Parts: sequence; C-alpha cells; structure tokens
Amino acid sequence: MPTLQDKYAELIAAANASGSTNLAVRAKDNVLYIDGVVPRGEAKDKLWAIFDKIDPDFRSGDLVLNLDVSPRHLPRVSRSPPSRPT
Amino acid sequence: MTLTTRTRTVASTITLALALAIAACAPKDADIKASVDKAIAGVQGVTVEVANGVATISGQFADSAAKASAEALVKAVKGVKSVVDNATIVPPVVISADDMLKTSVATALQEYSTLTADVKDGVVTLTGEVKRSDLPKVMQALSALNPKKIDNKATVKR
Repeated sequence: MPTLQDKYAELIAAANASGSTNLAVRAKDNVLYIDGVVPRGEAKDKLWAIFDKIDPDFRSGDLVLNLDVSPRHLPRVSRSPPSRPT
Repeated sequence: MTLTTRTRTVASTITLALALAIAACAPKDADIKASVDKAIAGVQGVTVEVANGVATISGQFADSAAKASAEALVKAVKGVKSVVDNATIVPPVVISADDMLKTSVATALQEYSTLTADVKDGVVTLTGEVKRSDLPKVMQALSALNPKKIDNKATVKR
C-alpha cells in the first residue's frame, strides 16, 4: 500500500534538488508534514505547483507544506580563481 | 634447555584456562544489549543492536543534543567497545493549540472575505469561496501556522 511519502515522492525529490536545507519529512495520523528552507521564492513556487499537481486544489488535506525562503541558505558554489592574463 | 612434554602440556592448559577465563569475564552481546536498553529506556524513537561489543543505534532523534546524549549513554555501558550511530535527526511535528490557531487563522484570512475557517483540534476547515488564483497563497499562509490538517471544502472559483 503506497505511503504518503510515495504519493508526494516527486515533491520530496524536487525539494531535495532545489537546494533546500533543514528539510524534515514526517508522517503523523495520516498527514505528511514537510518543513524546510529554500533559497529562492521561485523554488518555493515550483514546489507548491508540484503539490497542486499531485493534489489539485489541495482537496486531500494530507500534506502540510511549510517552506521558508531564505537567501542566506543558498547552496555554496565553488568558484575557480580568475585566470591571469599572459 | 628443551621443554619437556609435561611442561608444554601444563603451559598449554594454563593458557587455555586463562583464555576461557578472559572470555567468560567479557560480557556477552545479549547482556550488553540488555544493559544498553536499560540505559536508554527513556529515549524515544531509537533502538540499539549489539554485535561483538559494537553498539549500533538506529531510529530518529528530535535534535542533535538528544543524539549526543544517547551516544554518551550507550558508550558508558560496560562491554560496549564502540558506538555506531545510524540514527537521523528529525524535528518533531509541531501543532498549534486551538486558541492560538483560531486567532492566527482569522488574521491570515482577513483579506479573503468570502472564505470562512473553522478550527477544531488543530484541523482548519475552509468553507465559502476562494478564487483559484488566491488558493495557493491561502494554503501557504495557513500551513505556516502549524495546523494539524487543512481541509479545503471551499468552492474554488475559476
């Protein structure tokens, strides 16, 4: 029997891929709770669009999605030093 | 000087007896596990298995302090040679109390005059009407208030 994590697998995978931090996914009393921080507003909108796609008009009431947007939590990007002109 | 057969036999017997005595002194895994289970009896959400004196913790902790505390408790148990902690840190679900939730929900929905919300036992039930374009914003605002569940029974106007 599929779990709530199975139902929202696409959303969870997208949240992990979006650079979210402190992502907590847990189920309690037939409701899935996803909390986390995303680095950009666009990432939050995208994740909510996936939620809406899986559960149109949010009728099921089986997911509470709570995402904060914090640019401070942007994933670190390693930069190579600029090449010296010869 | 060569050792006589008798001397060799006595030496082997003593060595064997010592080895058996040492083995008998070391706690068995089952006994270690019993002691560990007793030590962490008050710790929720985790289990510990013991193999060859290595204690492996599995499950979920609410925060890093709880994880560190449990590791220390297990490590202190006689017979535990080392601790492997495979448990993850998962913050528990927070659900707002009804009186606080009612106030915060009413504030959040002030601008949506056609929407009505009923709050009972953490469940927010939406009735009335909401524009399709407003629905995600409404759901986001309500989700941030730590409800147990949001039951959208409102008519969605497209």
